[in-house]
Amino acid sequence: MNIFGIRKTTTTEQFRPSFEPEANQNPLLYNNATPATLDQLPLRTKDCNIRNMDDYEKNIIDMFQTFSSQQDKRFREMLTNINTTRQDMFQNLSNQQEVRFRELLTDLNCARQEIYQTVSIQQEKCFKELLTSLNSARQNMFQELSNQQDKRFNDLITSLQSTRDEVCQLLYDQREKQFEELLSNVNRIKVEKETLSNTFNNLSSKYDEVLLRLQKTDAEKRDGEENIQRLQKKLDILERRLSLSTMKLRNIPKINKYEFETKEDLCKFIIKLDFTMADQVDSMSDAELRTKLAEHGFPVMPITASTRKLLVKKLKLVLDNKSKPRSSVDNKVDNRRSLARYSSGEESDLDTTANAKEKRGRRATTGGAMLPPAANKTRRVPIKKDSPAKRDSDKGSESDEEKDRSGLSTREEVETVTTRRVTRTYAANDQDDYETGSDSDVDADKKTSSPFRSSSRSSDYISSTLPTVDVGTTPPKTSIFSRASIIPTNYTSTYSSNMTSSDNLNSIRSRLGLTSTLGDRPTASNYSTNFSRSTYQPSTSTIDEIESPYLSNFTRRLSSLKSDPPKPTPYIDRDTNNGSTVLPRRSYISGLNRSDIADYKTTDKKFLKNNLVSLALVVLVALFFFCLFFMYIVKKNDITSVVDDQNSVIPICQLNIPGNRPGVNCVPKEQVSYAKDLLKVIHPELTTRIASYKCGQPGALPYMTEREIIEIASAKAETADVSQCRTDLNNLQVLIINNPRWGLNVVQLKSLYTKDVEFSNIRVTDMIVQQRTKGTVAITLTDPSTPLSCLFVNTLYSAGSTLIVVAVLTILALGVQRAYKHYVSYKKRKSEEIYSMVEQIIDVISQETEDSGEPYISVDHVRDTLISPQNREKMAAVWDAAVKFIQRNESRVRMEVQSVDGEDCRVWRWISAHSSPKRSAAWQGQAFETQEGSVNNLVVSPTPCLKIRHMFDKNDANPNLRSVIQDAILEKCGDHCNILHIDVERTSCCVYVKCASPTDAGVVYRSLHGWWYEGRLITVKYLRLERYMQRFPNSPSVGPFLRMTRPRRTWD
Amino acid sequence: MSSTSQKHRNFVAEPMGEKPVTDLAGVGEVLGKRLEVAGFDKAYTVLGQFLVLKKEKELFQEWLKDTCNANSKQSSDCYQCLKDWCDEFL
Repeated sequence: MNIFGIRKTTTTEQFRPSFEPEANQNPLLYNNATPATLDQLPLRTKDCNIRNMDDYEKNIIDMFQTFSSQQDKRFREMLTNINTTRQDMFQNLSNQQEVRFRELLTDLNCARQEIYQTVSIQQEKCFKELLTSLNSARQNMFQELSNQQDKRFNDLITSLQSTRDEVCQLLYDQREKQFEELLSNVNRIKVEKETLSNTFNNLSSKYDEVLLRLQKTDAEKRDGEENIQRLQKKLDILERRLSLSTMKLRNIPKINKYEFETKEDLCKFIIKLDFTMADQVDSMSDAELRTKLAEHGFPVMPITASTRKLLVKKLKLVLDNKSKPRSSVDNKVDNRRSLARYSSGEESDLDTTANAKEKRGRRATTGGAMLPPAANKTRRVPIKKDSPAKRDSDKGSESDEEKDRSGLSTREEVETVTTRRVTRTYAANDQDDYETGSDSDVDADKKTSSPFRSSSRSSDYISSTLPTVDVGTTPPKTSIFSRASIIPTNYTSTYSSNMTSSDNLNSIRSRLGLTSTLGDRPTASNYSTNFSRSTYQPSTSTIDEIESPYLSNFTRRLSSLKSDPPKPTPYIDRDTNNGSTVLPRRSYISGLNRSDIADYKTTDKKFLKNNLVSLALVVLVALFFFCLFFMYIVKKNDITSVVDDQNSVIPICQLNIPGNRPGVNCVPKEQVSYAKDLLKVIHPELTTRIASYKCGQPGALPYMTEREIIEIASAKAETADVSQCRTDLNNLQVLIINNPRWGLNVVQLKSLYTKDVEFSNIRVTDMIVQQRTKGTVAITLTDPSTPLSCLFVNTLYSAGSTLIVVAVLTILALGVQRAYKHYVSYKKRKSEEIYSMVEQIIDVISQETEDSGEPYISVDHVRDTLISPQNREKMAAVWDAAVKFIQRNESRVRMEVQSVDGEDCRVWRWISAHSSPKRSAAWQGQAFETQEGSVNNLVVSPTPCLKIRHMFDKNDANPNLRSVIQDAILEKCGDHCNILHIDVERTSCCVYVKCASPTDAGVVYRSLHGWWYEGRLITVKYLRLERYMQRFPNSPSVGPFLRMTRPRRTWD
Repeated sequence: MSSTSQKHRNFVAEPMGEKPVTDLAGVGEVLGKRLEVAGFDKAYTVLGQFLVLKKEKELFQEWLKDTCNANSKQSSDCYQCLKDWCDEFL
């Protein structure tokens, strides 16, 4: 390039000098030439003439012009020359340059390629060298590493192997040792096991013995239980008998200190008591009723006028219910109480210092059973204090000891017993009262000892069923208190021996007194104490009677039962001694333990419990009959036993009787057994056939023909002696005919070849002979039994069919019932429609006749007003029926024919127009004058209060009576009268009115006094204010005056 | 009760307001008349009695039987009706 650049500059330098001198030469030529000529011209002119001058000028100019054109021509030629030369030079130069440039380029490329090649060759060489060196180094290193690893691994393996061998050796040794030990152990255990099995055998034999003994004792126990049950039954029967003849006089609520001088008085009193008991609930106050209800487990609720009746009814019902399930046990409670009286009486003799205290305690205990628990709690304390002392006085220390022993152990069961008993006893109370009321005078007349005995007996029972608890050991909350009481039987004996009528009365009175304590009348208890003190002496206790309380209920019962029969003689002795012995004991049941609510709710459970035995009996009987039925079904009539029966009739052929033909009417004696054997052979086959026939299998026949029998017999007997079989069969037929009770029949087939099973019995042996020849004799069972499965299937079929029939019938019946119901409802609807139509018609008639003034209205018009056009066709029947109904049953409407607008048509005439509408609660006019100046008018009204009589009837049951009356009064008095308060007293038929001032009261007085109100004449009186306030303390003294509740009626 | 009558549902569906006593389930025209005679002309008076009897089924039924000679189904329906109403709105 440099070469090219240098060349270029050189060419421009060469060119420029050649061009410039030419360019500079031309202007010099031009400029220099012209002034020189001009300067020369004036000079010439001075020398020559002027005219020449102009020519000269013209020449000059021509010369100049030619000169310039020559110059131009030369200049242009020169320019074109220069240009062409220049272009040539350029061309040359560029060509040269290109050539040089190409040469240079090729040189450069060659050099570059050479350099590249050399460089790459060198690089490859170096790279190869490096690679080879790296590979060799790597291989060396690998070699070294693997060598080291191998070495280490070998070392490890050798060490591991050695240790493993050692461990194995050790383990093996140990195991062997243990195994030996185990073997020795096993041997030892085997020895032990053998010894153990020996001992076990011994033990099992002993156990069997024990079992045997146990069974024995069980059997003994069962015997004992049976005995016990028998005795219990006896006991129950005796009790029932006794209770039948019992006079019960107790629990009569209220009694005053009446003295019953005569029997009549007593009877009257008892009757009266009955009535009071019945009316007691009715006459209770609200508060009493509430407490009573709460006592019986009802929720406490407001007792209003509306609820009171219901609650009273409920209470009565509950009382009645409770009295029903009560058994005689309650009597026993009462009797216990009465007996307690006697015993306490005797105690009081013994222990007179504690008399007052005891009385109190007695009252509390007797009252306790009837009182609500709350009341009882407060009274229980004295009893507790009392009873130990009593017991001590009665029985002494020995009883205490025994009680201490039995105390806690018996207590729990005792409580359960008592609670159950008590619920029952409590329930029976009231009814018994009524009974005593009715029975008492009869018994008193009889003066027999039986009622008293019975009652005492029952008390004995109760005391025995309620064995009691030691007071010392039981916590203070125990509900049962026990003490000894007099033997009731003793009491009866005294009665029977030396009881006078007055004594009888006295005793009754004492009982009444007792019951009066129940009814919360403490004063009456005096009777009982007095009586007991007068009649009974302190008792001497006998040992056996003391022992009895500590026995169980049951033994107690037994003992009392046992002691019953031999009693009479000892009684007489005691009677003569007039000594009373101490009876087992008496137990008090405090109200705390009995919960009435529980009783109320558990009646259902009790019902189940009570009826368990009877239910079980029924089930047992049903089971028994079912078993019987089953056995009957299952029972098979064993043919062999029947056939071998001695009673079967066997006609033996006897040679001396001429008519005997063997096989026809008699059997040779030696062939009887063969015939029977034949029967035994064919009987099972026959039964299976009949069974399959009965089961409805196709092709089965209910009989066996002679041919079949002979085939079977010959097959069974393995002797092909057909004739022998034949004779046997003949004999068998004779036997069967003679013994209908074998259950077999010889029959004659109606048709042998058809499959029909018709046949007729053959009763005569001669017939057989005839039929034998035909081959139509067969044997069948008289009353074939169907197998169970078939029976079941058949029953199922028949049951299914009956079920279907029943279902169809019920569906039919239901359908009929539905249709009937539908019909009835349809009728009802129709009649309702008719009635409503009639009412509408009457309304329309009355309205229209009132409005229009005409007394009648067209029937069609009424119809058209009532029924819309689209319904007219539909309602035609209803309309006709309504019209007929009105014609027949409506007295206020008369149907007649009138000409309306010249046309005759049926019309209804309203004919009740003059009967005035009923005026209710209306003032009907004045009876006498009350205006000023009249006699009835007071000049000054003294008080603001008034009392109005006769405004309503006593029987008026209108619940809104007060508002009605208030409206009537306000209406009558008008707005100008200020009334503060109006109230109604229904019992006296009075209305009380309080006005704001005396003058207002005067207005009321004048406007009401002497008026007729709803057919009653009203009288008004002034009432003093304080009296009024006394009666209605809440009546307002100021404030809003009363206004009418309904719109005012126009009053003329 | 497995299903209730339409009347029952209607009654229980809304507050009783001034409904007549015949709107109660189990109380028809006849019983309604009797109840009206006894002073219970509106359903709320019967409700009052129901509440006074502390919603006790037995007592309320007894009362209804006494007051309007209702049978046990009617009284039971009425009781159920009021009970449901109370459960709903009280």
